[in-house]
Amino acid sequence: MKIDEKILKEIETCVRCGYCQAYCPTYQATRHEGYNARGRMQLAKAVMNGDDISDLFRTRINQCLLCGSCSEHCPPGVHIPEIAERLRCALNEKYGLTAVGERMRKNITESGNVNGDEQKNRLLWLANLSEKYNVKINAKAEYLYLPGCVSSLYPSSYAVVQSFVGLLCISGTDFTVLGENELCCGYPLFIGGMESEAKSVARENVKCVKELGIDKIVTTCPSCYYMWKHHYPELLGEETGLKVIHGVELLAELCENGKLHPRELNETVTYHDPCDLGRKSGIFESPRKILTSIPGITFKEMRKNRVDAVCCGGGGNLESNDPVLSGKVSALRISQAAETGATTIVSCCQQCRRTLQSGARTTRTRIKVADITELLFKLCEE
Amino acid sequence: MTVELLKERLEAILGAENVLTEYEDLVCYSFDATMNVDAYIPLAVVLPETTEQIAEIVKIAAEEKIPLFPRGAGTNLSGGTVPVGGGIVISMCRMNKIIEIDEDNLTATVQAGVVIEDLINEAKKHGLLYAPDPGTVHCATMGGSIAECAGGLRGVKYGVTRDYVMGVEVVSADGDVSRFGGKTVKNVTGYSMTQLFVASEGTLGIITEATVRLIPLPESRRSMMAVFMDLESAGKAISAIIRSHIIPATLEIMDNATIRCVEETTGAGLPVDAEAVLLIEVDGFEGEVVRDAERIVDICKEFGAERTERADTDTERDSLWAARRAALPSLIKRASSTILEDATVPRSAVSEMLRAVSAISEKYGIPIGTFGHAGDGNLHPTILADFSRDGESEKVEAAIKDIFAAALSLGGTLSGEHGIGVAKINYMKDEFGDSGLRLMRKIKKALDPDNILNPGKLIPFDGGDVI
Ligand SMILES: Cc1cc2nc3c(=O)[nH]c(=O)nc-3n(C[C@H](O)[C@H](O)[C@H](O)COP(=O)(O)OP(=O)(O)OC[C@H]3O[C@@H](n4cnc5c(N)ncnc54)[C@H](O)[C@@H]3O)c2cc1C
Ligand code: SF4
Ligand code: SF4
Repeated sequence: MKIDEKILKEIETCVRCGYCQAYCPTYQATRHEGYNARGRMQLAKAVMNGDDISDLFRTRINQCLLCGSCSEHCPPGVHIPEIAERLRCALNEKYGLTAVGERMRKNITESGNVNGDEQKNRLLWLANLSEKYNVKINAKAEYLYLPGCVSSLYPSSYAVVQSFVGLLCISGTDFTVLGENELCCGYPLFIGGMESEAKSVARENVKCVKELGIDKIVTTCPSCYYMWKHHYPELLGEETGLKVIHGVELLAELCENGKLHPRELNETVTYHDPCDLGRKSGIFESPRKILTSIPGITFKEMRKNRVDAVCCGGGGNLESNDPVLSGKVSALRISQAAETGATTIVSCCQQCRRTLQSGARTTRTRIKVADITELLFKLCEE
Repeated sequence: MTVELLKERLEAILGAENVLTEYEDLVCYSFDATMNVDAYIPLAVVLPETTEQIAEIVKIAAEEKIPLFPRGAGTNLSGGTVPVGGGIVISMCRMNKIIEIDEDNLTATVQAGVVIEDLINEAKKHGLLYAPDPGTVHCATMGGSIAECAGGLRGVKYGVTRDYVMGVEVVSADGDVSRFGGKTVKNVTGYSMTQLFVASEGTLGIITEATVRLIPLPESRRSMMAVFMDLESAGKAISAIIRSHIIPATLEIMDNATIRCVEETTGAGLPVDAEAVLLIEVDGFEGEVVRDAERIVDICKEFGAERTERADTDTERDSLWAARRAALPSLIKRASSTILEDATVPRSAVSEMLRAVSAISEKYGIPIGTFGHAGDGNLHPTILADFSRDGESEKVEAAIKDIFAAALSLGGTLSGEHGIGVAKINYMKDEFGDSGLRLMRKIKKALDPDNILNPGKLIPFDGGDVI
């Protein structure tokens, strides 16, 4: 299999210490070494030089959440998520896409979004948004708001976009959305090992924003954020010249500047750090600042927080690749949230919200799951 | 028996999802954390959840004379879990229930696959401490740490795993389940069977459950660091501390090579020109702790410490110990291969041993960083090897041999806590001679006549003498 020397060398740096067993969510959920960072690295090392690579190897690599929790604590600092991404690429090149990968490629490159939905449906969430909130579409504004595919197309996630838009309006922030012109950011392609497809999506997206003449992008999706901010310059070989921020940073600023005034909430709340926003991008304090500034709230940290936070189970396309495993990981995270005694677990990510909600349902845990936009909007809405 | 039939019989006991026979899964159980031991692909891996399942598996293995390799987190450093020669790996990791914390008897009863830190955290909720804390405390299992008799940073004052195991449930080589020891502080009924299984490295039985001693959490603690410009003085200070009848909870040393490495990777502010740094912690009642800390600082100064630092706040304490915890990772980062040794000497001989190790390093031209538990004489000379260099393996091999010889000549032992496994098996004779080995072989043969429990580990059998 064709894989560059650098990655092979990197795989070799795993010293098999086994530390990652304490940090790898897929291992924690299964206690099976094949689902652990060390197992993945040693397996890769063993099969890499052979000609025939089995489906099971591919499955194991596709079961990685790319959450980076292992690397954070790995003594020699092996970059496991990058290795897994490269391996996915090499496997695709050699064996073609998996059925899940092919569907994703087709959806994104042909329909423009991850579900393969019609692009005009991207604005369905507007239908039941109160009329007092005025949303400009494809217009000149200070901020371009990109809700991302999941929040715009899954009705169960509309609340995220609706709440964020509501908050922008209440705070008097000037923004626009692209509506049916918004394309998937390409992150699922990138982490699915389809780098060249991801690159062309990146190019198109940057061009579209530049044409609109806006240079500030805000998104409520940590993956879009990470992709635009971190991978776009890398993929395109140059800085985009765009200022990309996550919604929670903007909300923290609006709260601090007195543009948003949340009402009292007498509840115990905990916070789940999304991998792409927290560990991978270092945004830990904005959401905590918002939550602790809400009057009446009791804020409780989970045992594993910030860089140590356990993935919700939705990373690395796992929900598509292996929904059962994804469910086991979210059940694990939900049990950690329940340990705090919180009645609500807040996150800053529509994907975390989805997976955690399903984790709470399957484990019959009495805990509400909310995106920070939702919680804040309820407390600020007049 | 064919693999298919074996698989079928194992699946009947465990369910299909708990029996692994695909190559991709077997690879993941072919190694452990030992660098210089080759991986070996087992026939099958099983992931049992109950003692009864293990007993059934052992019965099949006994009947068919299939080797069994008990495995916890696979973090041992002596090749103890590598399924050399092939057989069935029994992963204990799914047996991870903490069965009971008994506050009246100060004991905990756990399944063998419980992660040490999970027990420590649970005990803490009751104001209690489970003291053994190897570097792998967050991932290693209770079963594995009992089977290796793991030590840790708190060994000087609190001892090692052996000192905490009060009872075990084991499945023996014929599939029988027995319990030895229990919650009583005193117990002289029969042989000390519980202790026989401690450090037995999976060669005498499979530990499925254990009852361990808990102690009250110490009320208070103080940490400090002493910097020495020569090894001699550091060694003398260690002896003087012990002689003054202060038993610190932790008394660690890092040599110059380790200090430089840690400084390079962490920038923690360690003195790179120092020959040795001692990191010390005392714990107990507040008054006692304050007094002991002052006396230790005085002793270090008296024996020529260039400077001493006390950590008064939790943050200061954490950053001090972060530097010590970074020792091994930093050494690992530095070299393409690191071989972590474990030779242990009486504490009075620590500085002599340190000198011997640097002489060995010079002799073979291989960098060796030494750090470790100076307070209990357990040092970790870490060989930074680069096997892409010509003749490196021979040199490393020779250096290891010299390290063991030095430890034995100082009245020490091959291994303080990492065990023998396959990595050190050929040196056993140097420590025990023929008679000692013969006696241990008799024990092994009595408990495991067909040699199916972790064969090839710990006890060497000469050519014709294989049971
Ligand atoms: C980076 C690093 C740092 C380390 N630091 C320390 C340290 O400070 N102190 C220390 O003492 N050790 C240390 N170790 C060694 C190792 O982590 C410990 O010995 C640990 O206790 C092993 O536990 P495990 O669950 O990984 O056991 P494994 O490695 O899985 O097994 C160890 C041995 O026990 C046997 N075994 C496992 N479970 C059972 C069972 N249920 N019944 C019978 N036999 C069983 C196995 O066959 C094997 O022989 C370190 C290792 C690494 C990689
Ligand atoms: S923590 Fe890193 S070096 Fe250690 S086993 Fe895991 S991946 Fe390998
Ligand atoms: S990236 Fe996450 S899921 Fe993947 S190996 Fe590392 S810890 Fe495990």
